[in-house]
Amino acid sequence: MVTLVTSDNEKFNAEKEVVERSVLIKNMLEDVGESDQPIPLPMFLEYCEHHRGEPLPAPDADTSQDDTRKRTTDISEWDQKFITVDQEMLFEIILAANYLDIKSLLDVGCKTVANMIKGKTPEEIRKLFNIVNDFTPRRRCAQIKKENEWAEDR
Amino acid sequence: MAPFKSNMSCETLLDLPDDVLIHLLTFFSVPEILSIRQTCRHLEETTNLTIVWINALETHISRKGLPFPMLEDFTGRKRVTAQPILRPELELRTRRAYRLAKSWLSTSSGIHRDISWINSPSIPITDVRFIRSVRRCSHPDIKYDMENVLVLSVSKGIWSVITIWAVPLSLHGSDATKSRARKCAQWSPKGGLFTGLCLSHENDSEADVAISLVCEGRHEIKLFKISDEGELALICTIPSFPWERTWIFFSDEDSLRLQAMRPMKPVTYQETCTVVYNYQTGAFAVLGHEDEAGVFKQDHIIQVVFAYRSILVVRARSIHLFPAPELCVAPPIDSSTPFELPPKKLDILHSLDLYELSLDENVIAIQSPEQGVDINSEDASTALISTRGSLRCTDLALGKCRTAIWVKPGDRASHGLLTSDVYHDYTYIARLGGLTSSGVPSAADLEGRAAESLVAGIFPGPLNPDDEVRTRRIYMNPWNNWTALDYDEANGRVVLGDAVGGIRILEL
Repeated sequence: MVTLVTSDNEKFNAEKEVVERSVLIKNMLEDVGESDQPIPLPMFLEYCEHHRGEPLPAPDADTSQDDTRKRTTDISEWDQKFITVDQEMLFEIILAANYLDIKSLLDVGCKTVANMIKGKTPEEIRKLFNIVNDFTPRRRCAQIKKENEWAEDR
Repeated sequence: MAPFKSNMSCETLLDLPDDVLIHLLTFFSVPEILSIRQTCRHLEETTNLTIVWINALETHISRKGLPFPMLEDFTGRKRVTAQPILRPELELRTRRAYRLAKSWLSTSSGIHRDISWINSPSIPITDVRFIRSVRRCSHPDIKYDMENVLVLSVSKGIWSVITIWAVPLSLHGSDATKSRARKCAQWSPKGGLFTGLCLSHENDSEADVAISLVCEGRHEIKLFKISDEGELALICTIPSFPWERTWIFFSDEDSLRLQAMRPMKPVTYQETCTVVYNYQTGAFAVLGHEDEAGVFKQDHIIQVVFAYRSILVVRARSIHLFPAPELCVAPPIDSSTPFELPPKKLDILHSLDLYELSLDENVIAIQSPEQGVDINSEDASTALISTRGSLRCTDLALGKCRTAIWVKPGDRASHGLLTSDVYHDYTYIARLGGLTSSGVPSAADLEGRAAESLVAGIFPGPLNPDDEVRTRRIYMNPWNNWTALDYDEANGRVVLGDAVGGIRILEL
């Protein structure tokens, strides 16, 4: 059993096997050894709980062909539900998954973002993510030209 | 132990740190990255990072096995380490490869660019080849978004003439400026006629092109180096070989290997043979095989593959696999004999077969314990019926990513050579096997049926997820005068020569 503590001092108990989906925590546990010292943490427990028992990706999995398959933007049903959150939460999850080094969760988050922008124009993407167009008017003109050029060889 | 920091709050896409953003971009397709770039300055900066395009090339092109030129150059071959590829060029090339792959995978096809010029008016082109594309790194005058494509053409008028052309082509999706071919070099042996031509595609080979010729009754082979500026420099002449006709092929080693047909001295007339010759040491070996009884003698050589410890000789009517011979300076008494291959009669019927060579211990085990190459003819071949008709250009070019280009003749029927019922049968078969697999003639088919057409066959592979070969008509030539073609799959370019001295580069 490992005790996880969030920054606002809420405590969670979880099994070691579950939280070891995070490479960060796995390394932390290895560093400190078996100890009662609590490990600080937020909401990823539910995700790890669901995926317990699944093999962890090998450390150098990036180069494998498997990665190509994973990069296709389909997401399992459970993950889909899990990741159906507001944008703010979505980016928090991506950030946390990156920090905690949980590759599968990070990928689910990234795929979700990729699916959101699929087929959208730059203007639509701006609206979607609340991005302010900070290009100078001159640059905007040049951009429209560039955009058309790409549209041709699309 | 560092406590988890909750102040890493992140509310929007723009709050993500760069490393996460870069990882996120690997999930985006190339057009999506370009759309993201146009949203704001921060994302523009991020998508201008070299790593983003290295990732895009890796994810969308390399890992999928799609065509991309000079991949080995990016990973440290001698040419590029001096001046590595920069982001703008990497981006342009990745975008181009993405577009090319997309057009292969889709059902529509179009010619992206069409450049033509005249070599010498009304003197037929008999051979045309891509030599290489010269990038900026090896040529300071070329802008990063341009490359110089070197093309070699052979024309046979009274004498044979070899000409080298440089064609500047932009890497952009579209460009308004018209490319113009520049003549770089021309060479013609006085009173000589070419009998064979071979280009080396090995980067570090000393010689780039070999030409065999008959000059005042003498047979000789000349080796040339072609510089990046398109200049032709003679390396050496291999004089008076004891054989009649010569075809030349380069191997992967830094030496030229030649082969010829029907040597006049050492081997009996019953045998057809192939000669392997190292021009640096003068050592050679003869590979001979029995002609099948009654087989027409014109079993001319088409291709020689220097495979692992073996040499594959492909002729018009036979395929033989030889164990790699030892080269000797003294004339050999016996010629090497080929391996016993699973019997494979070459079809005289009009069909196009794709063979795969794979390493197979069993085949070579008969001769030696080493591994060798097996012609895996039964399981792996994919066949396609090709239609017949009068055709001057019989070249066929196959790329590594399993796309092939050839010329399909126009229907003879439309010239009134066949009766109508034969015509209908003929066109039906032609369509079934040749052009539209659906069997429904498209309007273009009907309109252009008298014209010969450039056809692409996409064999199952990275560019064709189906089990069947897809064929597609790319371009039509109503003059029916194409004589030669070459295909550069990695760059998506085809070059065609015609009977009236014209050369045309098509960019797919």
